[in-house]
Amino acid sequence: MIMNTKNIANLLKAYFIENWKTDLFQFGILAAVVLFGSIINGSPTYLNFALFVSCVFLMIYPERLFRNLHSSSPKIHYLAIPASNSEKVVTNMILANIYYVVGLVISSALGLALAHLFWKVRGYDGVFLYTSFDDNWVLMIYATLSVFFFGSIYFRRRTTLSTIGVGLLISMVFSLLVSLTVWVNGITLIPKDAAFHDFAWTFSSRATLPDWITNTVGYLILSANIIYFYVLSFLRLKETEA
Amino acid sequence: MIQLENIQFGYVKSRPLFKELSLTMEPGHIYGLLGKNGAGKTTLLKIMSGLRFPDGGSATIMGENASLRKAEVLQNLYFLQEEMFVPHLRIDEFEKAYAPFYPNFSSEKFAEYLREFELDREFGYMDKLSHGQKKKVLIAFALATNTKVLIMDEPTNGLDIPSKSTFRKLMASAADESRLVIISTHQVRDLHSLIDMVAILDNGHMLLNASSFEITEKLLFDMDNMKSAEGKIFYTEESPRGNYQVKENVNHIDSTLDLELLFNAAISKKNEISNLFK
Repeated sequence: MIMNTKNIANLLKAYFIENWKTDLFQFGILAAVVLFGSIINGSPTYLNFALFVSCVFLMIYPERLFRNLHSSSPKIHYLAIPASNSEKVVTNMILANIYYVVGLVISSALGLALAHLFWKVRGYDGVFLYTSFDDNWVLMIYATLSVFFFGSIYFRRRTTLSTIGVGLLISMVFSLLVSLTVWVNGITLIPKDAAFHDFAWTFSSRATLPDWITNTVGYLILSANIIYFYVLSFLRLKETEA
Repeated sequence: MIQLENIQFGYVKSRPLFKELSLTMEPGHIYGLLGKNGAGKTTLLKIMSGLRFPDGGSATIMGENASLRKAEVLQNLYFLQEEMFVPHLRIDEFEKAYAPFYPNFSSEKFAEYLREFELDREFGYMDKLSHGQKKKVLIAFALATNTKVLIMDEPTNGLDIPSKSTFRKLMASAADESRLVIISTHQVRDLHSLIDMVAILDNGHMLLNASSFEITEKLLFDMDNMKSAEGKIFYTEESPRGNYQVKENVNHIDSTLDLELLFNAAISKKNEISNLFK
C-alpha cells in the first residue's frame, strides 16, 4: 500500500486536463444559484441556502469522480492506468475533500458577495454571514461525503440516488431498533438534554461531563465513519474487475 | 514474462470458461491468440492484465501477481481494447494527460506513428473521430508507450485496407527482443506475416501454443498434394483454385504458414493436432 507521489501527481494532472472546463462550469452554476436564490428569496440572510446547495454539489461530485467505473470500456481504461488502487483512491479523496470543497467555498462566497452587492445597491444593509459555521458541521459533511464516495464505487449506476436510498433504509432500521430498545428498556444512551456542540464549546468550561462524553463520542464516531468508508472504498476498488 | 498456471474461470459457475488453463509467454515474440467466438480470448487477455481475477490458479506478469494491478507493472503494460474508450480530449491533450504514466513514452515516436496513419496531434477531439481514426490514435499511443507488454484485442477491426498495412509495418518496427506483443484476432489474414507465435484457445484449454517455425516443421500447408503426397491429412478446404490441405510434414518440406487453415485444422482435429505439438 506504499504510494508514489509522482503517480498521484500524474492522476491529478490527468483529472484537471480532462475536467477543468466541467468544474469551472459547475462552480459558475453554484455561484449563480446562490446569487439568484438569494434574490428570489428576497433576503440577504442566505448562508443556509448557500450551504445546502454546496452540500448537494459536493455529495454528487464522487459520482463524477468514479464515472469511469460505471461502464465497461471506460472501466478498463481507468483500471489499466498505471497507478495503484490506493493511489487512485487517495487522488480522488484529495479532489473531493480538498479541491472541490475549496472550489465550492470560493464559488458560493462569490455568489454570496454578488448577492450582498445586489442587496446593498437596493439599499438593504444586510450582514454578510459566511464565517459563522459550526465546526462539528464540517465533520458531519465530511462524514457524509465519505459515504457518497464509497457509494460511487460500490454501486454500478445512479450511485448518488442509490447511496441516498440505502442510507435512508439503514437509518430507518437503526431508528426503529433504537426506538424499540428505548421503548422496551426505558433507557437512552444519550444523556438527557445533551446536544451536539462544536469543538470549542465541548472543550470549554461550560461543558458538563455528560456533554463532553456525548460530543467526544460523536466526534469519534464521525471520524471513524470517515476512515471506515475510505478504507472500504479502497477495498472495493481493489476488488473491481472489468 | 506472462505465466498462467491452472487458470480456472467462469462467468457462471456451472459453465466454466477455463479449466486448468496454463500458458507461458516470453518476450521477443508477437503472439497471435486465436479462438472461436466466445472462447474467452478477451477474458484471457483481461486475466493476464489483472483486469479480471481467476477463480483458481495463478496469473503472473513480470513476476508479479497480475490481480494486484501494481503501478510498476501497469507502467510496463498497455491494453488496447476492442471497444475503445476515448475521453473528450484533443490528441495533444490526451498525450499530456496519459503519457506521463509511461516512463518510456516517446513523444517523437507518437508523432511519427500518427503521421504514418495520416493523423496529427491537432486533429481535433478524439471522441469526434471515426472508429478507425480513434483506433489509429490509440495504436500510435500504445506503440509509443514502449511498454514491455503490449496487449491488443482485435487491433485491425475498423481499420481500412491501407491502414492495416501501415499497422503491420509499425508493429514490425516496434517489436524487439525485450517486448512481448499479444494480439487477439479473428482477422488472421491481416496479421499473418506479423505473428511468430500462435496460441489457439478452445473449450477452456490451450489447444496449441507453438512458434510458426515449429508449426511449419510439423505441419505442411499444401495444395492438391503439390508439395508432397505423404503425411496424414488433417484438414482440406476446397477452393476454385484447388484443395488446400493441412497435413503432417513427414518429409520436413518448407511451406508457408496459413493461420486460417491452421485454425480450422486445429479445431476440426483437436486431439491429433494437440498431440502432435506435445
